[in-house]
Amino acid sequence: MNSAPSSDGTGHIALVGAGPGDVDLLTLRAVERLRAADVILYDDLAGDALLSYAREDAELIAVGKRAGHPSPKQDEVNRLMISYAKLGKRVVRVKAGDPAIFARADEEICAARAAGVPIEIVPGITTATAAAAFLGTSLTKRLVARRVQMVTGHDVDGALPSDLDLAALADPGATTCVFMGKATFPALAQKLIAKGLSAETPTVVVESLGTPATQVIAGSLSEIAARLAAAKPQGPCMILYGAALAGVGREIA
Amino acid sequence: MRFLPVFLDLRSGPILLIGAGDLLRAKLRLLLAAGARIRCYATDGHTDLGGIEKGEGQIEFIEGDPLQADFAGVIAVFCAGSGELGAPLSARARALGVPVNVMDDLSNSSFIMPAIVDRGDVVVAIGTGGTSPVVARRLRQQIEALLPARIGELAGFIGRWRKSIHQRIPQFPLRRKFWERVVDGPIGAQVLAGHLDQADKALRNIDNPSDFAGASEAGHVTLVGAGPGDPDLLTLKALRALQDADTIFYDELVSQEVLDRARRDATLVAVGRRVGQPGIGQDEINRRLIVAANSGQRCVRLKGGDSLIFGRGGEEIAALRDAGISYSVVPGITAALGAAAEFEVPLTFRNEALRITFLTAHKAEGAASVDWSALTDPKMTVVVYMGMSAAPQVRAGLLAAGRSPLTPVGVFARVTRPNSKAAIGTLDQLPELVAEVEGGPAILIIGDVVAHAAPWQADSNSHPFTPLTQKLSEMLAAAE
Repeated sequence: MNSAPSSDGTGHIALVGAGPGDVDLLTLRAVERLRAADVILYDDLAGDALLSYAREDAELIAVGKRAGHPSPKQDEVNRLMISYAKLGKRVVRVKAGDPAIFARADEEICAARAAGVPIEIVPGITTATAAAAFLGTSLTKRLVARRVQMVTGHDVDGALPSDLDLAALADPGATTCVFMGKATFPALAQKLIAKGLSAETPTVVVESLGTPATQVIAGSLSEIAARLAAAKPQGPCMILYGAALAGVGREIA
Repeated sequence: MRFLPVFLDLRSGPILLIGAGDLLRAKLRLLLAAGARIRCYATDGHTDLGGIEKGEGQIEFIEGDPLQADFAGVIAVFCAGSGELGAPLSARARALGVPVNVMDDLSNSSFIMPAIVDRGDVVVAIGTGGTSPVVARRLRQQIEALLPARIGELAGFIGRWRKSIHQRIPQFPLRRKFWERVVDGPIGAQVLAGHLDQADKALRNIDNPSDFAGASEAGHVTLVGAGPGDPDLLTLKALRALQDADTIFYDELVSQEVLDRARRDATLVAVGRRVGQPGIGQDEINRRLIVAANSGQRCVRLKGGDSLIFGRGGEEIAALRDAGISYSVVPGITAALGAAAEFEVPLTFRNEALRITFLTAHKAEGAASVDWSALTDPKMTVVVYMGMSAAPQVRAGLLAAGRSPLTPVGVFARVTRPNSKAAIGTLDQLPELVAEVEGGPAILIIGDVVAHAAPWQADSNSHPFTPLTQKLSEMLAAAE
């Protein structure tokens, strides 16, 4: 179970949460694993800055994944990871945010277990709480937001998932964090309003969190589509909505 | 000191790079990232950069004999993995007066490469006179841990304002004091937190820079998420805040191992409520934070997990804002993610778990106010904080919402600490599972994903009733 690398030359895979992009939000353990790695598999969303922690002779492999572009075959990434580990290498697979949340770590864990390769998960700061910290707001608020939910804004084909649980998403007592949702959020916002969530619900979009180019777009649920269209964010976006966010982001935006 | 550290302007001419293999690649990556123009002889014929980013016209691969290379205009020669070519290349470079470095070959090098900490405009070079790269690397790690990633942005920020402040404060000693106050105070903290706009605004709003430079130091409060307990799950930023703090106000859920990472002479103040004993109360905590910051102290408000998920960090932020105290927030690993990592529970799972909900059910009355009807979706993983004593109500609520009594459930106690413990079973058994872990704090995770947890997998024979186990073994078989 969640095994740290051993020093006897057996291969090992660490799924390392890289947090939201600011390398200072790496955990001490993540830094340790990056420094010790023989092989680092990373994608663009994780950012290059953290590669400065790699050993000079570490093998760095980009398995690029960008919004709007086709993902590399997950099977291919799994195969690479496992083959290197079976050669006795210490492999780090870098994941933006936290590996357990919308990061497809599920598939990598299953593949490593099936291959009998020891695997370890190093948690990361999830983009949702990093966004809250950046905005200086709590995701929960007594008597206002008792529940936080996290959903993905696109399915494997990049469209708004077809089996959305709108009743839960339109719950006025929750703060909702939408991952990877900038393209589909206008459609989602319409559905939420149709389902009865107030059109005035505060909504905040944080683009390119953890980079010097961070932008905040704030507005009500009904305003946000037009603001997104006007701002045309290029970077990855975290979208938060719910009553707990009242007044948030306006002084920053 | 035999080697003088100097900084080379890479815009003044091209670099000649000769070598092969991983060593060449590593050097290429470093030089490209630094913005060098490179003429490169890859003696193994591999010119595939393997995903290394490069700018337009930044690199030119040249074929032919490296010993015949054109040295015209070249500002430095690097040999990395160049084998026996190193010595003759070095001789030629020296004859032409061009600085040359042959990796791991001091006798053939007229300059050596330091270990580098790169923070944009701020660069630290560490040299050991070529004697011990290991010592240099170790030092680099220590300095890296010390230097915020955005220190280069802070330098750039000061660079942009330097001229106008120079005009407004002509006297040097006062000007130096001004910049010290910017770097050490709230404005510097804003830059390091990524709020460049606000820092610009704050600097612009200083009416009288001389007064600002002469005023007494303003304090600052950093709300820090301590993570679930394991001190190695602190972020670099959290560690720096702890080592920088004069006073640390901490909750009882913060582990001793985390507190041990604080500055040795920091004042530690316990403000949390303990089971059965009331704490000093939120209003009193807010008041103490404000008093300490107003007296010029750097304070850390340290909470288990993340301050902004069920941590009442929002109330503290509001109080600090109202009092005009400068603050910043460092997010932490929330306990659920600590549990997910330690026990290998992916909280989302392709096609099975598409959403997650986090809620608290503190005691029965807390559970009574949860709207369980929003949690019917079997593809939603439910994470309950502080839910041990209300476990029967959590079970009843989810069953009433239509969740199957066979839904996999995990109770994860004292996660990431040496005495962590998990109890795995089904929703039906939730109260019994809570009893099994022998004390909190614990996180409850409810949903099909729990069947993928390491303890469930290790013990799958005892849970033969779930269709998921069957499905999983099929998946594993398919993955073989």
